[in-house]
Amino acid sequence: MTELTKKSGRSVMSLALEACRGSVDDAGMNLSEVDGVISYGFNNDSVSSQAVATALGLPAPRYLVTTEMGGQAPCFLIMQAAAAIEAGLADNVLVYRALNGRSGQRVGTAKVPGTGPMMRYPAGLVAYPQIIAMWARRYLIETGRDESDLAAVVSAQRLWAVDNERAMRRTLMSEQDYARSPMVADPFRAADCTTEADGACAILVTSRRRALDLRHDPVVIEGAAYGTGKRSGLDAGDAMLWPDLTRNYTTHIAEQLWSSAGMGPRDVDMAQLYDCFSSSVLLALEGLGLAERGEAGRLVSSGATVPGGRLPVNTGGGLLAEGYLHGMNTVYEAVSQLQGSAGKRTVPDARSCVVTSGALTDGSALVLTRETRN
Amino acid sequence: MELHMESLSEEEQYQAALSRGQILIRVCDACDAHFVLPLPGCPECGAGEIDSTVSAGVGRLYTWMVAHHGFSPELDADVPYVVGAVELEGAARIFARVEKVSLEKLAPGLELMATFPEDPARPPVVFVPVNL
Repeated sequence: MTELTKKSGRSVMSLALEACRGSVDDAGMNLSEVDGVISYGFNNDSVSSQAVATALGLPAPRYLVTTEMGGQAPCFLIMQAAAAIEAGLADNVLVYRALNGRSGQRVGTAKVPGTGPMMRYPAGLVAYPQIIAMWARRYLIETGRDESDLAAVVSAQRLWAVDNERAMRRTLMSEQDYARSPMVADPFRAADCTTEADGACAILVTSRRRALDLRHDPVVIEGAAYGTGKRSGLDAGDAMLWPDLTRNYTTHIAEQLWSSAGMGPRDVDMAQLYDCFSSSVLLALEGLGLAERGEAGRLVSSGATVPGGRLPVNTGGGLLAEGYLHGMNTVYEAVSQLQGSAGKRTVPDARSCVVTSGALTDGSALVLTRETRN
Repeated sequence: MELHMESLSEEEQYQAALSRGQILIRVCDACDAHFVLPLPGCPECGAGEIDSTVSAGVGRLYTWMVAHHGFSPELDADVPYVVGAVELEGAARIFARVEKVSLEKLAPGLELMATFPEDPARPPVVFVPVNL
């Protein structure tokens, strides 16, 4: 993963290559062994997998996929890489996200075509914080909770960010600081919103057998799921048909995720939950069964999710504090933690982690474990 | 002027109705699901026979947000503004501007009615409280 900045001064391609090379070097693999590349981007803010394969000088790529997806993608694309490897379509697959998300195309500034946008832009509903603010409001109404639950998520994650040298927001945030943060889309303040970043992140997926020969203890994909429900919508921001804005995709994929892993919500040592906005942490905690309905805020307020807590959540500060690489860095944090390479914030003895990708009607998740070699 | 709806796409039908000051609602022949999104298939049951009807324009507030940042010069001029998710007949949801109600009066279930500003610089649909 590259550093995260407000102005990289570099091309997206150069960022992508640094992240991909870094990932392969860190694993102790030779770049020439990589034969698959998968990536995602939004409104042409990335570079294609084919182009990256070319610039990496890959000798014989046989699985190149470039998708137009947002935050729902990373766990889903890791699943795709694993499935491709299992099917014999590729041996070693890089999954990356690269963008100049701060100095280039920023959140809310791209006007995309299509029926979904046509139905919401004229109302002044133009950016994801505004859309997800409406989910957050309904969630707080139905559960009888209030904005202090959002503040709790923000403050808890800042405690982790202090020890993350990559994080773009490394200062602590008290309740008073939160209350002073300017409103963006009420109930969201600036502090409830991820901070846009320039940077890139890549994960290398390979077979378990090959992984056992590499530098670090393998992180095993125990379970995985992508999904949504009926009336999912026309695009990631379309919620005209989704019946219940208090429950997102996590509610729909939880059963598949846990059963594919042969584990349950009580079996994971930590959670990395996609958090473009604070409320999506609450919805994911409840959707995955890590908290009871309406209780996620209390769980976070209790200190369970902060350093030393019983269920560490977003241990790099999350997208809220680290920066917005559309959730690829959420998966990266899980892998770093399980490989014991998260520096001072490494959770002692953590052997399993649930990771999510996405905040709205569709999304994906993984259950990962660390396999210790003798 | 008579509009030949048959020759228009679902989206064009929706826009044509809007320009006449009407919200078109889709109603599934098979399951009676109501929805605003101009789709030729039913998101509830998958049936392909979809009728349309003109909404009475009265609905209830499901959720809302208050924009303090417009993300564009045009919308920055409007802040703070309210966008609500309003449920019309059969729980057909529409996202639209909500005006003429103070922020502290916004509440789930608030009864609203649609108005259609003629000024092209304004949003095409603006909901205001039924009991002003």
